[in-house]
This record gives sequence, structure tokens and C-alpha cells, in this order.
Amino acid sequence: MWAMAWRNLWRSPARSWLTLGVVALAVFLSLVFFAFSAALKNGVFELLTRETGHLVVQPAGWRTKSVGELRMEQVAALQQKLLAAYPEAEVSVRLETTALLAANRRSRTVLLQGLAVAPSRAEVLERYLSEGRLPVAAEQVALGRGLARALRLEVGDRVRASVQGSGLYSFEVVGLLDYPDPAVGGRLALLPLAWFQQILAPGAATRVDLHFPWLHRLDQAAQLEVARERLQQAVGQALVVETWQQVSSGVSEYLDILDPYLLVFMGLFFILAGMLLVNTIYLGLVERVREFGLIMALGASRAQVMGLVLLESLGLTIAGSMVGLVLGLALVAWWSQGLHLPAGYAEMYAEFGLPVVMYASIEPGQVLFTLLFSLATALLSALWPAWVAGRLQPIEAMRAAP
Amino acid sequence: MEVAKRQEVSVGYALQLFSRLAWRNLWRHRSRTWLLGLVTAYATLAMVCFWSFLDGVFESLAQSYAAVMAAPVRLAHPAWFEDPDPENALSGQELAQIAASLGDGYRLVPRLEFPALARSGEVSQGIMARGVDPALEPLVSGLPQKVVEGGWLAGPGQVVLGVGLARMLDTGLGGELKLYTMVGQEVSSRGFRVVGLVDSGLAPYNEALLLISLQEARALLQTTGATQVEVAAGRGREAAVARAIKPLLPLGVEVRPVEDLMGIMKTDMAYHRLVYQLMGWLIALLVTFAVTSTVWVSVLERTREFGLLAALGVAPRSLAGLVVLEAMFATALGALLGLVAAYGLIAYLATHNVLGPLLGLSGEYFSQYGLTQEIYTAVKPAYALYALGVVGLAGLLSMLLPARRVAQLEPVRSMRGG
Repeated sequence: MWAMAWRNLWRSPARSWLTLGVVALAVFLSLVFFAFSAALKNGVFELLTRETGHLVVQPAGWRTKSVGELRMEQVAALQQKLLAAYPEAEVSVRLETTALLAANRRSRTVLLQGLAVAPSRAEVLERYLSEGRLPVAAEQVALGRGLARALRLEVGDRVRASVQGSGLYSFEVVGLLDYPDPAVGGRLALLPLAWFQQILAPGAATRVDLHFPWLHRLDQAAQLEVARERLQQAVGQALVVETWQQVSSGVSEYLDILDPYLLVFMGLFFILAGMLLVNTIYLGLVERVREFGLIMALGASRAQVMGLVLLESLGLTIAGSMVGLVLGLALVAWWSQGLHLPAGYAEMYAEFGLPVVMYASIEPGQVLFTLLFSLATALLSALWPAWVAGRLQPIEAMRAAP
Repeated sequence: MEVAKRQEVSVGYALQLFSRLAWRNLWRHRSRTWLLGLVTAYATLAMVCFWSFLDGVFESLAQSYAAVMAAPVRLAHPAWFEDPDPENALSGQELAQIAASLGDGYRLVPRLEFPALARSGEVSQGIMARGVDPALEPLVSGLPQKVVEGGWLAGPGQVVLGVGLARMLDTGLGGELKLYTMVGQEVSSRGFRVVGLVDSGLAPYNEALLLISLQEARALLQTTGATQVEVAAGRGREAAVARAIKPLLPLGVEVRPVEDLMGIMKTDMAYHRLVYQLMGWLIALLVTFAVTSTVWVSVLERTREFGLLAALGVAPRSLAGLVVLEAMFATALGALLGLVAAYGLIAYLATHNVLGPLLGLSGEYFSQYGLTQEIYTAVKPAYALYALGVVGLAGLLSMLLPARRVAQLEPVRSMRGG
């Protein structure tokens, strides 16, 4: 029977190749679909961690205190320790406290933030700058647009600040920042870190963020956890190192909202892929009902005919799945190093400040699902014509018009 | 002349003959026709549903945002949008002007929002009070349907509170409270009785929600105006209504559809839409493959039959035409069926909230924006164009190869099953 099945496959090579190709295509596109879904999620991940950093170092117990109450001293030494462990890490340092800003007979409670970003991440901040420039020297400040509006300030104006635990200052507004979140833009005032440290707390910071240039995908969580543990040991008990998810759990929930959409699209997609398989295999066999009748007339049993069909289809499906799997995984591996969006989309994405390079990934479960799905669908669609043929009398089957 | 005419007749006759033959073939090979039709029908359906779902989700989000937090379309002074203070309100005269210039085509719902201090017993709380017309409010707001205890505003001296605010003020149904607000340098105040509690679905919002009648809000602020005029608009129609209103408005009044009232959510939605569009391309690709390969297979398996026809003297060209005709009939039939089924489905899902509970969109992300679990699909004629465009392209592609193959057929070899 093996020999016969093998021979049958070569008897009509066009049909066999087509079936194989369609199975390969279905598997390949399904893998691409999964990889693409993951790339979208990884894009959101990159977006979410752009400002928070991948790992955050803060004083232990920061959750129970108000902003700026707990500080880390000698941040330069801390930075050295972090970089000793991960020289490639991009480190940003923040010193925050609340203050009262007053201008034009109005006043607002604001978050004063002294910020020094890693040079490679400066671009993220510059994207928010809608007017003027970023503060670099003493007494310069950049305000969130909402805050500037509330205090009726424009670039070039001066604003008075009463800084908790320090004193009264007068700042020059040098830039306006358009944060995507109006809640941030309504209360944030940005200062150069060095100068802010001088007037508030020399050498101190409230928060240190780390970005790892190699971290692009959510499935690298294990690597991130390793880095977290290593840095936690390096910095000691007084400080706490947390991942972006631990720092703000709400942010990671944001990722979950993608799932319902992806589920609907997956449903639409896999039904279509299934139909593609059913069609190709079923149509390829239904034509041969007559032939099966002939084989049975020559003495083959129904079970033997079904076995023959099963063997043929199984061979084609497995071969096709393997081809699709190899091609699909190769593509995923390539995309996991970064997929550049087509020009038109890249422009639109850049307009929203979205990452234009996407990083794909795939889970073993998804690969398994794809293979089982194609195998099960292919076998079911192969069995049906064989069963029909087996049920008919040989003479009827030989007469059958598909 | 004579010859040309005869040829014309025979071409017409052949076309008629082949159409009949193609049509008959469709019915002779029922299972094949059904499968081909089914694939095309589902492919069409998938495309229509994809775009309808995508639009529908965002329209549903905007609608529920409008119903709870804002309004479908809002008219106000540009200064008020910048700084929502009653000093930037529309005057009574401006309200009359707006009503006159928009005519009867639009349902206008004025609101008067002002900062106030609510005081109940020893507890007081600063809030943004909202004066609404109790009869008109349901046109633009979902809050009247979200009363969880007591009832909606019905008479003078009544106030409806968010459940969180009632808890913070340590009061409930039947409780008394007093509202204080500044009018110029003077404090203006008025007493109210709690008649209803509202749960917007959004905890922080519930803690700042206080509704009284427009009439009493005006009395408190000593004005005849309103801070904003809301305009009713159906789901997905907000931007169109805003565009239609814009040229009619008196000078110094600005119109904003709900999308422009949503702040950061607008960017979020635009981002997601962009992201999922890429997914749509992937589905379109699969649709193309599915339709094309189905036609290919159905031609390949009939090689023997074509060989027979060729042996009977049918010219390869005509045979190719026959194949194309058959495929055209089947895909067109499938596409038509798919369209009918798809529009039936999305029309149903546009009025029945099946998707919301199904997808469990009540997740934290949505509730933090106070959004409902109601997700409807959108129904637009454009989806049919997208679907037919892709299916049509696939149909064209699928006819090229088989027709060529048939045209190069060798009768004897193909009858043997080659």
C-alpha cells in the first residue's frame, strides 16, 4: 500500500505539488499571522517602556511615600555599579519633587523634574518638544503645554517657584512640551538635572531608569528578570530594582486589550485557512472516487481504500507543513531582528511617534496549534471522499460523476 | 461582408452556447461549485466583517465615551474648550442665535457646568457640578439610564449624585446637601435633596459627578446662558454632524465631535486602527490565495474532461473561455452570497450587543475610561468595495493560469490523466 500511495503521488505531479504548496502556504501564512500579532504587541511594549525604562531603580519603600520624599544619594556611584554589570544599558536619572509654580496671579502645584536622559534616548524627549528648546542651564525650565496654558505662560516668560525644602526661585520658560497624556502635561515642569541637584540635593536622585538596547520583545521577559536580579544584588537592600510591569501594573493591562481583537482576526483567518485546505484536498480526491471504485472492484476493501487515501494525504500534508514551517520560522527569525514597515506606513507611524521597526516573535504553542490545525483539517477533508467511495458499490463508484 | 456577418453570428452563437455549457457544468459538479462558491462567499464575508468590526469597535468606544464623559458633538466658546470656566460660557443671546442658525434639523441640549462646593452635614467636597435639562439630557447622555438607586431629576430642588460622591459626602437617597459657588465676588448657594444615585462605571468619575437641573444651575450662577450646547448624533456620525454644523455656526462658537473631546484616547484609537490595518492586508492576502488556489484545483482536476472536449473538436481558445466563464459564474455567485450574508450579519451585530460580552471587553483598560461593554459593528457600503476589490483581483489571477493551461492542452495526454 505504501508503494501504491507513493506511486499515486507521482502519477499526477501537478495535483500533488499544488496540494503540497497549498498546505505549505496555509502553514506559512498562519505562522506569519501569529508572528505579526506578536510584532504588534511588541510594538506596543516598546511604546509603553519608552518613557518608563525596562528596569527602574528607586529607594525601597517608594510606594508608601509621596513623590520625592525618599532619595538615593551618590547617584554617580550607583550609575557606575549599574554600568559595570550592563555596560550597554542606557541610563536616565531623575530627581523629582513637588513645587508651587506661580505666574499671572495664578498658581499650580506641579511636579518638578530634574532629568538627565541617556544621549541615545534624548530623541524621545525631543519629540514632545513643541516649542522652544529643552532646558540645559541654570534657571531654565520646560513646561507641559497644559500647565503653561493654565498659568498663561509662553516661551520667554518667567515663572516663580516655591520648591519644597529648598526655597524660592525664578525660572525662565525655554520650551513647551506636548505630552501625549494631558494629565502629565498639566503638571510637569522639566529642569536640567545637574542644576536641580545643586539647589535641592547634591548628587541625589529619586529614580534611575535603564533601557537595554537588546530588549525588543515581550518573550524576552526571562532575560529581563535575570538582569533585574543581578542588578538588585549589585545595588543592595536600600534600593529596589523593578521591571516596567512591576512599577506600573496598569501599563501592562494595556497590552491585554489587544487580545480580543487578535482573537476575532484569528477566527476570521483560520476559518479561511481551513477552507483553503479543505478545498484543495477534497477537490483533489473527489475526482478520484471513480478510481477508488475501480480499486475496490479489483478486490480492495473499504478500509484499504481509506488507508490509501489517508496515507497519501498524510504524506502530502506533512511534507507541506514542513515546508511551510521551515519557511515560516525562517521569516519569523528574520523579522525578530526587526521588520521595517513599508514607507507609507512608516510615515504614518512616525507621525504618531510609534516605532517604525517591529520585532516579531512566536510561541511554541502557536506553532503547535498551526501544525495540528493543518493536519486535522487536511485529514478530515481527505477522509470524506474516501468514505463516500467506500460506501458505494464499486460499480456505482466507477460511474460516479463528482 | 457576408463572411463577416456569418462570423459574427457564429461568435454570438458560440458565446451563448458556452455560457449555457458553463452554467450547466456548474450544476453538474455540484459539490465543486458549492465549494468554490463557499470559499468566495466566506472570503467576501471575512473581508467585510474585518473592516466592519474594526470601524465598529472604535465607533462604539467613542459612543460610550460620549454618553458617559462628554457628548457626541459639543458647541462652546473656543476659550471654554481651553479653560472650562463658567466665565467663558455662552450667553442666553448666543444660545438663541445657535438655535436659530442650526434650525430644527439638530437636537440641541444645553448644559451649564461650574465648579462648586457640595456640603452635606459636616463633610464638604469640591466638584464640577453639571446643570442639565432633565427632559433633553437622555438625547446625548447615557447617565439617565445609569441611575442605580432612586430616579432621574424630575422637579425643583433635586440632585443626582455619583455613587462615589454620595459615599464621600456620607449621604444617600433623601439626604440633604447644599451647593456653594462663586459668582463674581459673592458666594451663591442653594439647598438640594438627593433623588438618585448614578454609577457611570468609572470610579473616579463617580466621585465627582453631581447633576442638577439647568434651571437651578442658572439661578445659582445668575445667568441665562450655558457653558456648552451638546448635539445628538448617532454612532459613527459624530464627525459628519460636526462638519455639517460648522458652516452654520454664529461667529465665536466652536464645534468639536467626540473624537476631539477624548484627549489621549484619540491617539490610542488612531494607533490601534493603524496597527490593525496591517492585519487587514494579511487577511486580504490569504483571501487572494484561497480564491486563486480553489479555482486552480477545480481546473486541474478536470484536465481529463477538457481533453475529451478538445478531442471532440472544441478549439483550445474556446475551452479556455469556458473555464473562465465557469470560474466567473461561481466566484460571482459566491461573492454575491457572501455580501448578502456579511451585510446581514453586520447589520444584526450593529443593533445587537453580541460582541461586547463575547469579547469580555470589560477589562480594566476599558473600565478606567468608563466605557461600556457594548460593541457594535459598523455598516458602510465601502466594505463591499474592499471585499469585491480583493475577491475580484483574486478571481482575475485565478483565471490566468488555468486558461493558459487549457489553451496548451494536448487532448490525448490529458485524457490519460496527465
